[in-house]
Amino acid sequence: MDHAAERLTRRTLFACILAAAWAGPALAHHGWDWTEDEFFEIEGRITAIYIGNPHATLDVDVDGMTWRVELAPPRATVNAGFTEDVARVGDEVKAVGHRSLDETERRMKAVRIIVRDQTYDVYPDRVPSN
Amino acid sequence: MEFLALLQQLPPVQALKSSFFAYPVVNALHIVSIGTLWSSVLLMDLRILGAFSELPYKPFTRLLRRVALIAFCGAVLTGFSMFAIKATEYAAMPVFLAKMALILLAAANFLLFLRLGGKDGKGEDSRKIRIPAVLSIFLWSGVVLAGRFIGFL
Repeated sequence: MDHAAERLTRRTLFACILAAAWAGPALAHHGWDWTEDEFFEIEGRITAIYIGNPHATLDVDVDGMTWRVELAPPRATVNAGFTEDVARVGDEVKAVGHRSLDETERRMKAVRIIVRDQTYDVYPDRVPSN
Repeated sequence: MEFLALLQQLPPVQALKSSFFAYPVVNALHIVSIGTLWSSVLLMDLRILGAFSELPYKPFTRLLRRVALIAFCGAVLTGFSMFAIKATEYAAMPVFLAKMALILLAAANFLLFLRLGGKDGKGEDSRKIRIPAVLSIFLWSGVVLAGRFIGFL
């Protein structure tokens, strides 16, 4: 291979590695790396319920702002007792969990949700100890 | 949007939505497909740019193009299955639309490559096909990156 081609190949590989390195941190968004360590909670009205892959989620209206509350994967969420039959859009909900480190986004991952006086611990090993 | 809402209601889509095993398997097959596609595309592009010139261009490219096309079909099938679960939500995500646009650009770039002489391998030594080869690397890398971000935005 001639010199120019070799340089081009090397540069391309370098650019790909850089791109991969830059993308790396974003890949950690699953799990709990993207949330604050302290507990956080919101109370509001459910505007959407999604129980399915890859994660169950609730959309919650809090004083006119929509929050996205991520729950566990569907199997774990249903095992915690939270199914499509136990809550309806319009219900009041309290979600306890951890807020996104990025405070500009209204997003949290819940470990516990309380709807219609029922408590559902979707991450039972992570609920607050009290 | 009407169509997307109907798509979400199809029984196999509903089954995948609530499945315990199938979704991670489809997800894994999607990763395998895009990894295979990206790697084979990268190798073909680097070959055009002068790397591994000791390997004969035609059989090398013929093999990898076949691999890339099969992997692309696998990625489309698995990707569409996962898309269907939350079709209306994904279709409204800028990063998802960016990914689809990048795939279209990559396809247009492939057509450009064929026009510039990449089709029969006669253009092997042509400098012209180096442009789509470089573009191809960046476009397909962009597709992978945009795809990864769908899960995080």
